[in-house]
Amino acid sequence: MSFLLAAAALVAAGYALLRLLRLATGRAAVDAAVAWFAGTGYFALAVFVLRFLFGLRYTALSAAGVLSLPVVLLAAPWARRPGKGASPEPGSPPQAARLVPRPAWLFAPLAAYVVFTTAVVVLHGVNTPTQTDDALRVRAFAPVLAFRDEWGAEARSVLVMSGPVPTFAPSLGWRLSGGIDQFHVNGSILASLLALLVLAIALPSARGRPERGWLSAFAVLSLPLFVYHCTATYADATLAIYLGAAFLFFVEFGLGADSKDAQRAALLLLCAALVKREGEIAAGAVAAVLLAQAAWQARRSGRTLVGRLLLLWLPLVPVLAARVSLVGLQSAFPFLSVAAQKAVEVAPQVPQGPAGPPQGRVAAAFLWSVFSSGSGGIVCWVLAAALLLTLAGRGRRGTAWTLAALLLLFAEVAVTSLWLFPTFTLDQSTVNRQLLPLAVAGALWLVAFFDEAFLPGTPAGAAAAAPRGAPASRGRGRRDRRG
Amino acid sequence: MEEIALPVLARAIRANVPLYLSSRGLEVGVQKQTSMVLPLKGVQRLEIDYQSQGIVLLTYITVDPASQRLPDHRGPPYRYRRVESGRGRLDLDLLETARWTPRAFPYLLLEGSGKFTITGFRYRPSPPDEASARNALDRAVFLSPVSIGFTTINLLYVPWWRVTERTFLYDRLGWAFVALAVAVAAFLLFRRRRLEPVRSIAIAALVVTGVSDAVFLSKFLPAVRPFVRLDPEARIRDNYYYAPKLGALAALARATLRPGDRVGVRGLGADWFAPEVLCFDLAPRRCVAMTPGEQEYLSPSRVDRLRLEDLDAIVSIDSDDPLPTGFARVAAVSDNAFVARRL
Repeated sequence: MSFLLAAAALVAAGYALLRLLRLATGRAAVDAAVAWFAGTGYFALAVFVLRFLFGLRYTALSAAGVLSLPVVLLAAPWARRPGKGASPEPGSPPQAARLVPRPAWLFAPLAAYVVFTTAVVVLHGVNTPTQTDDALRVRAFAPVLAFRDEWGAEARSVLVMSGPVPTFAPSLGWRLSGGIDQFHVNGSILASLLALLVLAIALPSARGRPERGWLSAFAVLSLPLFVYHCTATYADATLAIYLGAAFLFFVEFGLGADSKDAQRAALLLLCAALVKREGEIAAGAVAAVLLAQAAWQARRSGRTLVGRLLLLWLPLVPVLAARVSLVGLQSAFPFLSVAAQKAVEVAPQVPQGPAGPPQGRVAAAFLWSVFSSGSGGIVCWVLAAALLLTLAGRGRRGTAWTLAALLLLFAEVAVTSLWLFPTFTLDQSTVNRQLLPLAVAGALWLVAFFDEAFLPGTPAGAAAAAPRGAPASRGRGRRDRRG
Repeated sequence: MEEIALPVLARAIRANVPLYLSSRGLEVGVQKQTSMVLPLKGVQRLEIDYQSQGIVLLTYITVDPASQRLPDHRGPPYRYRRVESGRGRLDLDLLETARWTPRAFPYLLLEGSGKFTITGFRYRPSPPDEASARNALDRAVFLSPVSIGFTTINLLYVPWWRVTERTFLYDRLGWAFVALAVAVAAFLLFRRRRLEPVRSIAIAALVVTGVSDAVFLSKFLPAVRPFVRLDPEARIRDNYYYAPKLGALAALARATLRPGDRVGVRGLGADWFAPEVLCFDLAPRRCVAMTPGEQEYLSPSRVDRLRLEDLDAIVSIDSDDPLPTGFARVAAVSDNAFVARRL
């Protein structure tokens, strides 16, 4: 019960924040899902900064104060003037919301798979106590440390490894109720999964494309290792989920060019950056491409969007400052430290240390993870095919930027797996988990990529649905492009 | 299936504890870890009728005598069964284990606290011809369910297509996807007189993903516990899938200890798992692993440091060490799994 109350409070705070930022969509399901991500991100960020930059203890009172702040601000007169709150759906006037996908013979089994698999994952996840090493020591342990609010050197190290969102969001219910129920950690991950699935389905549906919505949910639940991870209390699934939610809006921005979608994506990327140490690297790669797309579009529409995106990411500055104050500069950015160390090692004048594993074997192990391990189903095979189509000019212009973000994400995982930590690639201990955010984002991107060609209600889909013998539109290959 | 008379089995089994043949069957006392090597070279399947008391986890692996080392029984795929109290039958497919060969012997490990009595024993030998044996192995490995263990988090399972040829399912599915995309493209080209590569790939992706999902669910569903259980204490007690005694002890300790108690946890030797699980379950109490020989004990992630004199209570599971002076048992799951308090 305390978890449900905490979740409701986080969603309420998140929704108020969306309204204050004028990023609510006016669609209940979409806004509720985004509010979960925004609420957990806002709460974790605020508590983290207040605790470690300003020394404010994490108590039930301070937690309640942080949560109620956006709600109180929303009630202020200036916040209620016309123009605040929900912005109109960009797709609404020409494409009314449609909830039921067509054709039913195709989507009924897909929807059944989505509902069934989700139910299994939620029930198994809720039933399973934490029982894996890293979760016991770090991922599920960090909220316990937050509950105790005693931050010695080792506790600070755990917090930095886990990130503010997985540390503070699950601990809210404990803080408010005064006792620990370890299943709140499971609940937080599963709530994030449900929010992602609701968002994946509701967002395109609100824009008249329920087919894309259900296919997106189906694609995400077709990633075996991701599905399993949602039932464990590691944070890899959480990072993939937050990044996936941001990617959904990034894709919408590419397809519809609505600046509000870019801002929503930016907001969710900020939240993703607060998950694990790797979060800011993965979110940063996507954010860089989002910023580039915004700058590219700003040639026509002015530069306000770029400035807004940067403003949305501004809260990351105090987070980084707090982290440096917690563990020092080197430990605050461990990947940079490892990269710098590796760069020094390969310098010719530096004596070589013990030889690492052979690069050929590491590369083979990495390729096995990508294509043969089944951790991401067949998503990497399909991504490779879609990449070839895009290079051949068959892709949609609207998904080009997001494809660039995916490639950057892949490059990041490749550098980490092949260069920074080759041993963990060779023994398959981390590489498959590292690929989870890429797999989730890739699955969502693929559905958007195939949307026009595959689904009814589009020019290509209409041509496909036309009676046999009806004249096909000329230049079908070129019609696959949409600006 | 071929049956072995229990007296014959009793004479042939190599175990680390004495076995007793009685009118009830072949009795095995389970305290900590009881291991048994069965003299059945290359058998594929075991069917064991049993009567059990207490908390017992049975792990099964196969051991090739040519191998120098005993394989890690908890390594992937970690094959275990929780043995319910009372009478029952275990059907163990040894082909699902990591290192089955026609030369390998079954190795059973019983963990927990209680008694396991074998009342009937049957086995299926390996087929005489090599091709049949290889096919049986390939089929068993392909169909074997996910077994949730310590390393599942890194890799759900190795998706073998044919383990004897070292080929992988997702390579096959990947190339099937490519072939299907080409076939659909050719079909659409023939029917509509135009090339539709995006549509072809989309159709192929959907079909092959459906196959992938079917395989995934068939392997995943046997491993999950999708039931509704509202009481978190019951979930802790019953759902440590590969450590049932630990779950029972954790629930007992949570019910017994006071919120402010400082707790030390003792396990068997260098076992890290039990102390970490128990400390996690006992949070937010200060809790440390009582590593033998250390003056100062550390908690998981070294957040807390306590000495023996700081402790209010000790939770012990399978430890060989005597209880320190000044502590007395206050609650127990079994002889070697208990909670003690400072007097």
